[in-house]
Amino acid sequence: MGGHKASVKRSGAGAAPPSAGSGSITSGAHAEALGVLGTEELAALLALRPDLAVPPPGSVEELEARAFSPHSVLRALLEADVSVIQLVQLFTILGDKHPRLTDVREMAGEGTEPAVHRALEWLVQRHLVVPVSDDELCVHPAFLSIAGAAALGPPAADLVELLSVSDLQAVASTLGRQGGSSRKAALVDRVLDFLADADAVRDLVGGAPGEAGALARRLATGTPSLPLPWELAADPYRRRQDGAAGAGVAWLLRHGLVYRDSWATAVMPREVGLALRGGHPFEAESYLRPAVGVQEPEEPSPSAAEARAVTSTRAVERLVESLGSRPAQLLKGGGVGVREVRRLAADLEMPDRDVFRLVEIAAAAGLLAEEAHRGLLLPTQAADEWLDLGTADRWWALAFSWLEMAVHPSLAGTPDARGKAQPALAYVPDTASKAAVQRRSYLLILLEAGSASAQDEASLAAAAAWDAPLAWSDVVAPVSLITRWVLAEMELLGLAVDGVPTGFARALVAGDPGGARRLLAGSDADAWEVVLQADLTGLATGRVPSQVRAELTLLADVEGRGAATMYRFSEGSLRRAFDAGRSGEEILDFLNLHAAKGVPQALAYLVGDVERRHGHMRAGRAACYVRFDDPALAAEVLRAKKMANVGLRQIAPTVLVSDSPHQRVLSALRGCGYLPVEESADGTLVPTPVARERAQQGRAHGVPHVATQEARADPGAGRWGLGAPDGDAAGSLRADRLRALAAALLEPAAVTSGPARHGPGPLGPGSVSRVEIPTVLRRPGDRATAAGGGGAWEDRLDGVGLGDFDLDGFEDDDFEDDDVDDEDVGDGDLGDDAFRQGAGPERPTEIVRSREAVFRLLELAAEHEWAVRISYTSAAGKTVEVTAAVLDVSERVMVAYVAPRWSEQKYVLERIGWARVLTEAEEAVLQ
Amino acid sequence: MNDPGAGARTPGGPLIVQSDQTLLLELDHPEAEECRAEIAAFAELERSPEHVHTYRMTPLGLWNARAAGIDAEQVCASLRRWSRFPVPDSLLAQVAETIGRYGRLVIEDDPRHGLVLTTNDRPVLEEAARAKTIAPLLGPRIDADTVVVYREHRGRVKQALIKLGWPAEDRAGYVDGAPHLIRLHEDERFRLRAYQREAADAFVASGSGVVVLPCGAGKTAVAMAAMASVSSRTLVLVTSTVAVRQWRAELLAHTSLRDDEIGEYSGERKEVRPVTLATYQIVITKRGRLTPHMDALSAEDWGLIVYDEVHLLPAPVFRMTADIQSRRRLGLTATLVREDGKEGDVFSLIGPKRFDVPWRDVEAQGYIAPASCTEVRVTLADEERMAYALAEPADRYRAGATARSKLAVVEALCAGAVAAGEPTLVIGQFLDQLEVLGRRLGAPVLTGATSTAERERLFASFRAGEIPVLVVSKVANFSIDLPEASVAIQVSGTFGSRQEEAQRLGRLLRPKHDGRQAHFYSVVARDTNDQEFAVRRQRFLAEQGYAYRIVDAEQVLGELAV
Repeated sequence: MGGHKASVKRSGAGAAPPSAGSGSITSGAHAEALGVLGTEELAALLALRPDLAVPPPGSVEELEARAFSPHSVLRALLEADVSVIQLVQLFTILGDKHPRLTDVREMAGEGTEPAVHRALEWLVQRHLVVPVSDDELCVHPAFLSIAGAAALGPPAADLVELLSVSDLQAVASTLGRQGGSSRKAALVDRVLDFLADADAVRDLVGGAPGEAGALARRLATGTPSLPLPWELAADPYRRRQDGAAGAGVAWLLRHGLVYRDSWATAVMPREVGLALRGGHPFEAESYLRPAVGVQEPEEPSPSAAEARAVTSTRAVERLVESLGSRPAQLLKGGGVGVREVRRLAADLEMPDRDVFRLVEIAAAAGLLAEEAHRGLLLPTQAADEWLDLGTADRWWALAFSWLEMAVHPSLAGTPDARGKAQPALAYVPDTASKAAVQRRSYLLILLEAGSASAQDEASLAAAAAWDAPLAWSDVVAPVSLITRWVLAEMELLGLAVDGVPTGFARALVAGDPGGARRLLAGSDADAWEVVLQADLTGLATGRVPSQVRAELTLLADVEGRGAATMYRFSEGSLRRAFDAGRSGEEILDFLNLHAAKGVPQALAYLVGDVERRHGHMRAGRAACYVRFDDPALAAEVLRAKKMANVGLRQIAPTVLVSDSPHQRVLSALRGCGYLPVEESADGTLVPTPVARERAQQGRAHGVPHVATQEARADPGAGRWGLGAPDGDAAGSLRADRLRALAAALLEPAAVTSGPARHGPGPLGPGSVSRVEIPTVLRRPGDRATAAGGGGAWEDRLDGVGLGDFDLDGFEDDDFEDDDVDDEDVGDGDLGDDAFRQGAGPERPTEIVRSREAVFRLLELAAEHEWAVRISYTSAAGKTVEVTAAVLDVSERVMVAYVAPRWSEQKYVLERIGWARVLTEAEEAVLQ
Repeated sequence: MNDPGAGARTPGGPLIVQSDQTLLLELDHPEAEECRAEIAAFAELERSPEHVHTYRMTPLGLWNARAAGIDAEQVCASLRRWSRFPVPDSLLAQVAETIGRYGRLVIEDDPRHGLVLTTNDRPVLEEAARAKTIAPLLGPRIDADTVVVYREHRGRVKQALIKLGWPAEDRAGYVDGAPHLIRLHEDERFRLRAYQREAADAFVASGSGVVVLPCGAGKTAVAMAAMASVSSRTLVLVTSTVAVRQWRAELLAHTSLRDDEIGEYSGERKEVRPVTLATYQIVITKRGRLTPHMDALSAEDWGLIVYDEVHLLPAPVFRMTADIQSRRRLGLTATLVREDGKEGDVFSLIGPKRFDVPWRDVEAQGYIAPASCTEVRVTLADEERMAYALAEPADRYRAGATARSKLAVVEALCAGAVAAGEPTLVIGQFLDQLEVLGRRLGAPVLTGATSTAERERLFASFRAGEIPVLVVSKVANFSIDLPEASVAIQVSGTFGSRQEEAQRLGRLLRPKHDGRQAHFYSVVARDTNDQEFAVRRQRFLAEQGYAYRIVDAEQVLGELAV
């Protein structure tokens, strides 16, 4: 039987395409038959061949095309039993697209009529065969070309053709059919003529020498082909001595009973095999199903089945919830690994194997889906709908999906070749979905047999295999293992208890969801109740609606699970609810609404108590704060228009915070004429005189990078010196600090501003954590700041002799400003006036940014041999700051020695973000 | 699984069987009582709040049940019968498996070989005999199913076997001890209650085991009934000298025993008489490496040993008990829960639980005054909150618990109680707080430093109603008897241990002759860790089924002002 199946299957997949490959080849009778089908009949056809309906065909033509596609035919035959498969092979052997029923019956042999009739009916129902008249059938074209049908060789005509004329002559003469025309066609006809005479063939074999006769009979009943010994392969028709190696084959070759079909193999033609089988390709018994030992076991207790059905449904429910709160990580190779399954198993309190199965089933039911880009397994939206169904319907959804699913859920978790458990959802189902057919056939057998007791496991497996031979061929695991898997899955779902199928199984096979509902009707599975108790526990029994459950899970911690869920309310759990935005009133309303026996005083008190304390502390994000001694001042600052753009908000009467960096806030405050000071983490002022700071840093590090850090710290720090209005400062600062300030203010260098000179400055940040990126794009708001603050600034700038300072320079898109110090000089062309300030022996202290200004500054630096500090963005987009001694500068390129190794480098002026001349002190350090 | 008849489920039953082996019993269900009667036999009542009681099936509980003759089939049938939802097969299988472990090994007295360990399941004996903890305690192997147990190791073998998960059934019997006639005097003032009689009978029938009764339910009476039944020389081990005196008084009042028949073996006196009352303390006292008192007492030919407050039994006493397994042993306790988790030792060495009545049931029968529990939350004054906030972590509890803001509330509560003529106990942990309270309330303070005589004098006056309020420290927690205290105010306490709560509540729950309600107040400082401990206390008391209210101090003060 195995041989038959294998051969048919091969043919289905391999040999069908030539005849039906286009998918549009439909026999006239078939198409007509489909065309005349009524709605009911068409529906019946779609029920029998569900693959035709997915996706829904657009027209009858499309349906036809699909129905006659070899793929669909094979899919249909997967469910065919052995008698049908044999019948299909008879069609091939008959070789007629319109075979006569009488011929079919005759070939099937005596005693097979009922089986043939049944098989034919099966095929007709599926429109694989269409009766044309009382005695004439129209068969699917694919059925005519099944290679190796019934384990018979190809038709003799195909083989005889291949012989050379001389070989044909040899054969014909051996067969006693010499004479007549020696044209090849005539020779072929003579040989075929002989082979068509079954009696002659049988006589010939009967009279064959022992070895040849035995071989012929073996080829006729078993595989029709055999390897040729090499000496025969070279010259098959040469006469040899009896008893020589391969004499039997040689005899058969010479007598035209086998033919070479490739260099090294020979095959017996169909006619010969058929003749030797007495004209019947299959034995009559093979059309009959092997008997199944029917048992009448005690019906399992309904409660046991019910318990399993409910337990597995609950488990999937829990699985969905668990994965919803903590999705499972997918393995790199796909699927859910054993580790995640173990975690779920611990959560579900179930054995790993069952959890593997449930994950597969839940995924098949569309409740779980892989989200590949995040590498997670998550519940789907369909799962939410599923959760809202009644227990019976949820069970049905699982059981139905199980019955239809294309893989065996039990395959997951079994050890692979290396002994590692195979992950769940990793197995790619074969498109033919044999698993579903296997499952259904075994389930039906089980229902028929009544019980899967160990002793007739083999007979059940054999019967299942007879019922769907194609489905059970080429399987992923031994048949007996698969049947055990299916049984275990049935036990898991409540379809069987101790090997005995339950009412659930019958309902499932009958496709009757109402049956499942009836079976679960008495289980209270859908009743629910929430009881709250004074020990701050809550008990939710039954099928609590998912919304209520979700709310309870928010309000309380889950302490125990099972048929009932035990919740514990605590300060922590209630806080979670308040954090999630619930109010005390809402919580109590919810509890009062759902608690069947009221809310205990202790719990209500706890809710109130937590509410009272909730939110007494608040934390938020702010980049800096401004403290005041006087609430009035705070209010004033908050309302100051010029402060609007630093985003101050009041968090206490005397505290404002802002998301802007503190330097910016300080500058803004000073811009408005206030006198802020910077405060360190421990609440002290940050005084540090400018000069000392600079020197200290220089000594401390002894490397030129110091300058970098200073520049980084705040290129605009000098501007703050500008910004501190001398007169107002006196009132609020200590005397020494004032002196330092004054010194800084009065120093001309300070006036023209230069971070290099002043470092962070007296009010600059002491914090090292502050990193400034000179090339941050300026935001529109910042621009407004500069403009808004312009009035005050301009006044002050005038005061220090920088009246020409061009605030509009901010608009120059070539230049990017710091996000920190909008008010800083930053850019602005070194106009003639400004340049004059820095000309002569005096080093310029500006940071210049426009290309032209940079060029001039560098030229100046080259002339006076001043070292410069530049920010440079490489072609790769990386911005670095370097200290350099300019050797030569052109409109486009600067050549310089670069610290610390003083190697020669070229810089494209275009990419220099800013440049400034080092102070003497900085240079001293360098040297 | 295939006995549909026995397992028939009543739809909508009162019981919910959880997969973690807890059983939830819905009290309002009409069949709840019937169901409780069945499941109480094999599951321990863990929590008994107002609507749903939680029972837990533990191996010990199931073995206790097995020892009482209940088999796995009965347990499974009960579960199936009462369960509202289908019971998972796996759970039933597990229960059956656990129960099946009891009694595979049996300790018997063999006429030829003496004490032997036998089995009907050879691999189990094999496993046990090869276990490192057991092998040294066993003698030669007699046959495949029998091995000699050295008589002196009877207790240790049982102890080790229970750890191995194969509890042995001890059928080796008991020695009778030197007989000494004891009779119980029952009259109209003292009569054994039905459940006390039942408890005593259950014990006598089995020879050793534990009787679990709530405080105030008359455990002493059960012991006396048992002593009368056994009528032999008896050793009673109790927790303190005060308890010794109280036992003595009870025995003299309600049995035929005369004063000279009762000995006191304590730090003060060392008398060994037909009935000897000894403290745990003296029994475990060591002289160098020796325990002379334990040895002296073990040498006597006792027919019965009574262990009072078995949940407090010190570990060394277990060792002593292991050596005297041939004596009848009666354990008395309000709870089998031991803070140290040595419930298994109680099971193997004293014996399985023989009798158990849930507190509420005893209360319902009117033997324990119903108590109401009220937690009063005091808002601390600002400076106290600051003091609490700045206290070192180690001192925090004290800072919260001894806040002076509590005093006014305690005063108010006391004033109310005294006005209503309720004898009132104020219980606290910190001595200076108690001193202050004593001064403010004008009440005597009883601490560990108070001499026994003074203590007894104060108790006597309190009982007589001469002192309306008594301030007591932790000392008061164990085994004193203050029958007339109907109000207890707890101002501070250690870490709210379950045991302590049981004891404190026990103080109040002694029967009141006029059936008045007892009140238990705990005064708690809001927003301190005092409150955290109060949460545990609340949980425990609510789990025990007592009405529990939380009120604000202002409410208390306001009510009293009105």
